[in-house]
Amino acid sequence: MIARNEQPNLADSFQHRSLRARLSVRMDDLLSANIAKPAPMEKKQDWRIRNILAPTDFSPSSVEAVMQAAALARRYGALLTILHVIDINPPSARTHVGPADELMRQQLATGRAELNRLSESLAQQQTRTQARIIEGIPAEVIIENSSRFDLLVINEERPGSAWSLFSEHTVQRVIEEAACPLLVVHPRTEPENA
Amino acid sequence: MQKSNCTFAAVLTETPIPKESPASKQEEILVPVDFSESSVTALRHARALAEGGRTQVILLNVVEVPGPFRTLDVAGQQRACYTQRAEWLQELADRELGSQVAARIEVREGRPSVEILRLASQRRVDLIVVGRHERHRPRRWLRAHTATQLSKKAPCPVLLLQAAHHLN
Repeated sequence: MIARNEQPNLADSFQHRSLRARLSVRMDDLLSANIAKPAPMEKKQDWRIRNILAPTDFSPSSVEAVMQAAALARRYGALLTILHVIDINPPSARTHVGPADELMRQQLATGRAELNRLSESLAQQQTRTQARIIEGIPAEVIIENSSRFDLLVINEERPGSAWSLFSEHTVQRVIEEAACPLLVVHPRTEPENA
Repeated sequence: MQKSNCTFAAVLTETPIPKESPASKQEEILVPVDFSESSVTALRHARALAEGGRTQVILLNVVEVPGPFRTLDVAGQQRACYTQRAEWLQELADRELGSQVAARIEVREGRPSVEILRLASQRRVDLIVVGRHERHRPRRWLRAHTATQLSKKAPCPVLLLQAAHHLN
């Protein structure tokens, strides 16, 4: 440390300059050099949207995401796969009275009927569509299957409470772990509040 | 990829747009670039979507300046930093987008997620394409991904990409 009323000796002066130089370099680091100039990446083949996956639980927001995925499928001439997962641990199990098999059969029948209705509606709009129904944990099934697609379309609700940070909802898990490019769309009626 | 005059937003909302209308808004895809591999991957995906349409790709780099240094006189260094970042962005745009896709360069200062959302709202962009960095779960709890924050708050659809997503 250099006292104000003393002439610094050569060693102090050297240390002082050295400290200033170090500070100057650190400032440069913070402002400009902390990101290295990017090296050119290896060129790969262009991305093409040929297969689109749209999972749905038939809620209005997920059906809307399917419709938006269908519009993209028509634009790019892609095949749209609508996926419905029969939840093996459904919320309705807590209030269901009767055998578990019966509940699963009910879910399967409802799922098939809804998928048929959605597929027929999209077929009328000239969309190449296929429907799949799989039993499992929704997030895990969607993530496992996503690797075979060029694009996954999912609808996300706007932010809720801060506690959602610690929860593992299906949509959040898919957003975090999907194995293919993921298009997150929002409800169309939502006002712009960003 | 089929040629189309419709914007990405118009496709998603299925809003008819007159084919030759000069008043129709040019499609804009916003790509935040931090010069990482994942952001270059995002830029390549944006190019694939932009090809064949009247589309402009906006490359945005956000300079994060630590709070305590805001009070110091660093204007000259900031200018040099912005110029350097703009040059890098232009170089990247030339290399990755070529002459087929229109590019716009933006360098801003602040928090990345805030500045990305601000620009997206100001320019009413049709799509944000963003690459994500891998993070370990405990750190993810403490601070959500910029990309995840964008997916929640963006005024438009968001295409999220992992660095590992190979272009097929």
